[in-house]
Amino acid sequence: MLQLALLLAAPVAGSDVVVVRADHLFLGHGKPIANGALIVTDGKVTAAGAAVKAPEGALEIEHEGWITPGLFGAFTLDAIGSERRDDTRPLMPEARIIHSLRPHTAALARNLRAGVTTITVNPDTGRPCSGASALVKTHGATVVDPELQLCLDASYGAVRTDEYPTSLASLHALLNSALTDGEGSFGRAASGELPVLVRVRDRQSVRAAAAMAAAHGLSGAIFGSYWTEDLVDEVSASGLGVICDPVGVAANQRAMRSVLALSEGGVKIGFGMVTPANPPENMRVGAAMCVRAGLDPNVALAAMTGGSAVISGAGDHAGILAVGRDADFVLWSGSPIELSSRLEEVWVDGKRVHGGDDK
Amino acid sequence: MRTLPKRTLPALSALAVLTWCPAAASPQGDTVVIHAGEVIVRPGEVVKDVDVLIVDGVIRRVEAEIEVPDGAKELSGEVVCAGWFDPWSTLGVHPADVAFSSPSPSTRTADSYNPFGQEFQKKQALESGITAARLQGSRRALISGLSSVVSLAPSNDGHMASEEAALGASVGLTDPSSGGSTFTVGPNGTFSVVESGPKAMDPFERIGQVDKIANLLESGISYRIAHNEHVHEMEEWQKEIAKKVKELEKDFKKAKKDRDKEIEEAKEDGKEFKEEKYKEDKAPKEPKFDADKEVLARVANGELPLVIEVHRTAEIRNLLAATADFGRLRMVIAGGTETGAFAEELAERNIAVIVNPQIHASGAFDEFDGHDVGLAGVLDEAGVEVLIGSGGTSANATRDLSLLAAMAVGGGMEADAALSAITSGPAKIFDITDRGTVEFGKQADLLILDGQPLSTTTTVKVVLVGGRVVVEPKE
Repeated sequence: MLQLALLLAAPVAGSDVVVVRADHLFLGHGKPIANGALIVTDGKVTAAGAAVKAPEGALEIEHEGWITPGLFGAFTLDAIGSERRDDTRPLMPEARIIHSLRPHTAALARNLRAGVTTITVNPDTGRPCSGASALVKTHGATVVDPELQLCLDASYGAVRTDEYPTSLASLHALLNSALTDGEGSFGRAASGELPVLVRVRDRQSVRAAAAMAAAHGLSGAIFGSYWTEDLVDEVSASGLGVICDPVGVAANQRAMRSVLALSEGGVKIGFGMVTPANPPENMRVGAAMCVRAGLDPNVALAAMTGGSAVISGAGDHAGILAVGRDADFVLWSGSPIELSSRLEEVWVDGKRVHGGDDK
Repeated sequence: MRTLPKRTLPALSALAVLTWCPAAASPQGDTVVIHAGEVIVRPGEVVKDVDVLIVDGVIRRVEAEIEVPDGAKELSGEVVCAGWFDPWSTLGVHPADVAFSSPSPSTRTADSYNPFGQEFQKKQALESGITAARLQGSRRALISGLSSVVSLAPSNDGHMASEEAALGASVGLTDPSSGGSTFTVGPNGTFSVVESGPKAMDPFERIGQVDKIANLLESGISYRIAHNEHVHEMEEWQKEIAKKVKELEKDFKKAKKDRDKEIEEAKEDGKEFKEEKYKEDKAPKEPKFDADKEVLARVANGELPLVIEVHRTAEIRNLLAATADFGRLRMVIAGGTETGAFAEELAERNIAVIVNPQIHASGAFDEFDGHDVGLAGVLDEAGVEVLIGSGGTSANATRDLSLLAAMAVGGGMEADAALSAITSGPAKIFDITDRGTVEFGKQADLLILDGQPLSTTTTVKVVLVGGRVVVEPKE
């Protein structure tokens, strides 16, 4: 890669302006823009697109390759150590995983090196309601939103033999009645104010989650794509998006077929991370495998960035490069959908935090 | 003429050696012409706008504007390249055979390969452009037995490209069933159960495994020496016999007369006639045949490659030291997570490495701790022959071989080297000399692609195995 950094003049006093041009600029949605540019002022995007004029005195960077938003890491168990789940009660709507955050863990740095600049830190699944997830930047562990999604589990994973709810029926009854009563965070979820993330593990729970969302007017996403292939219409009618199960090398064909079916059925999708059990670098592998199975490459790019952020309730903060947003982006040697492309630089808040000259 | 003692002849016939010859590509009869936008003859050597002529399953011409013979099938596409070859696969091997923990060197994966098994996975692999795979059972065993190379053509004839392609081995792999639960008794007499995950192999045991492998190779050499000595002894013996025959023939008439007389006398006396004994009657004793040592001998003598899965620095260092004196050994390292530091020595000793660029999660077994997606690039840069394989644990993974090669490129490997790592490289290392490139005389295992081989957005349009279209163009 040839990269030219030209300091044309001293930056305007008091403000720090950088212009980054690239062969391809993907803004987190839609199609990539050929020969696009980003203008970053004091850590924020002040212009993005094809016809962008560099202000005088800006630092100009020509990048032969791609610019994308920093990847969005939906569903991680990173930086919370063993404080993943409280097993004492089935419903903990007011629990906030942010209180368990340990900012100085290697997991955040590993995410950053994989191009993931923002993650959702989630309580583990396996309880009917495990509280709210948080939105965290992987550089500096900045907490962007301490109350991102209400995390529910509508699958057999949340059913116990020795403690209510002891059946899928009682689990769904419990969640439905909590949403109907509408107290606290459940009320905010039922009014659509607080997005949900509902874990599903089989067709039965996909259907239950979709029905619950439709009945209570929930926003947010289902977490778990593997068994959605035959239930796309129901998922689509629920209004929820789907955070997909990670797809890795050797995945069963159904994993890719389901993602494809969701996308073709008009459901918004995002690629889930499930780190640290799954490596963060795998998000691109999964995207590539889905593209090879027929997924539109632009949809796959959005499912790693803006599309994923939107259905995770983080659309205003991450995954999209637009005027006024934090300038969190990645420079690649080629499209990140191509596994042969290399991550070259990661920028967060308008500053290069990984790669470049000192990599 | 006096006959020699009758034990002579059978001993000689025992020397006849049965050699197994791979059947030539079964003639398919079809003549095929592919009109290609470009042909990747071999990685790095691209010819634009040419045709490929295939007759009876074999590539006959790669030239511009070949005249299409009558009745030939015509295909066309943007890019033609050699079919992909996974040098480290388990596709078609039953999981029980992959897990089998006590094979012997002569155990053959070929014998556990079911040409009709895992049909769906084989179909997926073929559709993804995989035309050949080296299969290895018993991955975690110290000696995993003989691996075989198969063609993935959906047919039960001619599927075996090499029944005995290499001897597999491994050092220091974690047993996933190790670990488990242990009881601890608290001060007040309460029990608690501590669950632990799989435990890495003891470091001393790992190094011990390296010694065992060296000893096995040594035993193969001793076996081969004993057999070679026997061959020489037999030659000497034959000479002795010839000499004796000549000597006896000199006064054959008298000897015959004497012998007839003795027979007559014995008959009269009612005694049994005893033939005269000669010291040449006694044949040199043949060393006992041992199928396992036979295999080890072939490996030590470089007739078969030895593929050792090894990951950690200490084991690699010891392995390189322990095998340094086996001058003919053709060693291939599989996995080789921490081989980066040994790149120069590997290049110098022509030790190839089968890299699996797949990224491991933080919970992976500790032998993978040093994993770096840049390994393939580092080794290739240092001149090591790098192959890319799917890791020999999942049958599905073979399907994703080209993505793994792309990942190696993402990690810094040259694209041509990565393509060679899944085509000509494995063919060369495992002696499948009739595959791997698009050249005159090679078996026509070919792919027609709509873009560059390692791109995510490229689709495999047509797959030919032995000149036969096994994946049809989709409309």
